[in-house]
Amino acid sequence: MKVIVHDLDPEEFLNAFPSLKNREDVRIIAETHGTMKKCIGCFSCWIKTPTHCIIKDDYNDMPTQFAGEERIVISRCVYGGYSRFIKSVLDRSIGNATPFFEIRKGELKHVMRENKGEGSLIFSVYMYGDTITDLEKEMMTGLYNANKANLGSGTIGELHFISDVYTEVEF
Amino acid sequence: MKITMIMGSPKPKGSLSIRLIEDMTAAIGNAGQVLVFNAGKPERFEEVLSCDRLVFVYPLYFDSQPSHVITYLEQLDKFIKEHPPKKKPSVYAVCNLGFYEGYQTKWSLGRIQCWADAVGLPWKAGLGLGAGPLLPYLSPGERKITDKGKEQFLKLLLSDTAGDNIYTEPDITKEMFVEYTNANWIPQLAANGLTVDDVMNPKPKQG
Repeated sequence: MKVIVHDLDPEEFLNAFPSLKNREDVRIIAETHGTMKKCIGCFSCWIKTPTHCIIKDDYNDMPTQFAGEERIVISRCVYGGYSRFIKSVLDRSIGNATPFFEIRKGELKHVMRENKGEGSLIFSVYMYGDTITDLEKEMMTGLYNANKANLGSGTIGELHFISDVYTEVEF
Repeated sequence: MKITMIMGSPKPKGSLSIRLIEDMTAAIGNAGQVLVFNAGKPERFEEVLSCDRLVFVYPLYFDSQPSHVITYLEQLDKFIKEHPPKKKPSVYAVCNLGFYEGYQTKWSLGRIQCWADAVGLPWKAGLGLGAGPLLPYLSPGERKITDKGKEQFLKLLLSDTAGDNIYTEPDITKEMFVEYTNANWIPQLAANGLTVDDVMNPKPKQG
């Protein structure tokens, strides 16, 4: 499954990439059901209802939706990191990891249920914006590499800085 | 000297961010007046900015700030550009995380630096506290590096000095930390009628 998470206008995005419409092998996560509520740090998705978020809105299935062998994030670059919606998706998908810790490559990480073999997850990120500074690129690159490491030891992929999604991203 | 602290945990009570703010306020004592605002309520920006130091205190979520802190930063950015403050408070940040290594907060502290650059306020320094949730339960001997880091950070804050980010970790081995924190989940799971197997192999949601 290819999962695409973006913070653009949902309709405009689909019109720009018609090949993504009605595909069984593609899942698109966008802010289509009103504003997504923030993660409240309750850990219920770890210790009460594993892999399910208890927040009552239309995004409480993020731990199982933001899952799949290829995950693509398209985000406006905000102070060297993801935009509010993208960050909400990531925060509310932590239930796809477990609360347990292990040491991987010398650092603490969460134990994953899956994604242990090299290349078992492709995680690609497109950060868009016209005025992304060098410091923002440095911080975003560090953040991306940290995310990759946290998503599992088998994660591969690339980070791209772009100006315009609709002319520079291909599906 | 007026110090504004922005509390960035989404938890209404009992968060480590609140505790850190209380600790810093106590340590600052008569050296400054501390005002605390909640990042969940992006309002009263004029009051927020009427300070000499602006300190963001938040937990690390997925290697960065919780999403509502991003909203707060963007709204405060907009306000600053529309209403340039008379004073330019120096910006500091304190981030705690559940992992052992404080340096894993580097990229999130860097985001606050990027924000400070974007709004034209001087960035000064950050503090990344490893083993956050465990800190209240550590003995003074196991908290030596952490306490020293907090002390160094407060010195920078009170003297309006810039410095390299400070990262701390507990004075116990990484292996001990993993063993302790993993074991700590078991009774919490049991209280919800769950086992480790329920977490590792969750059943599909019914209905």
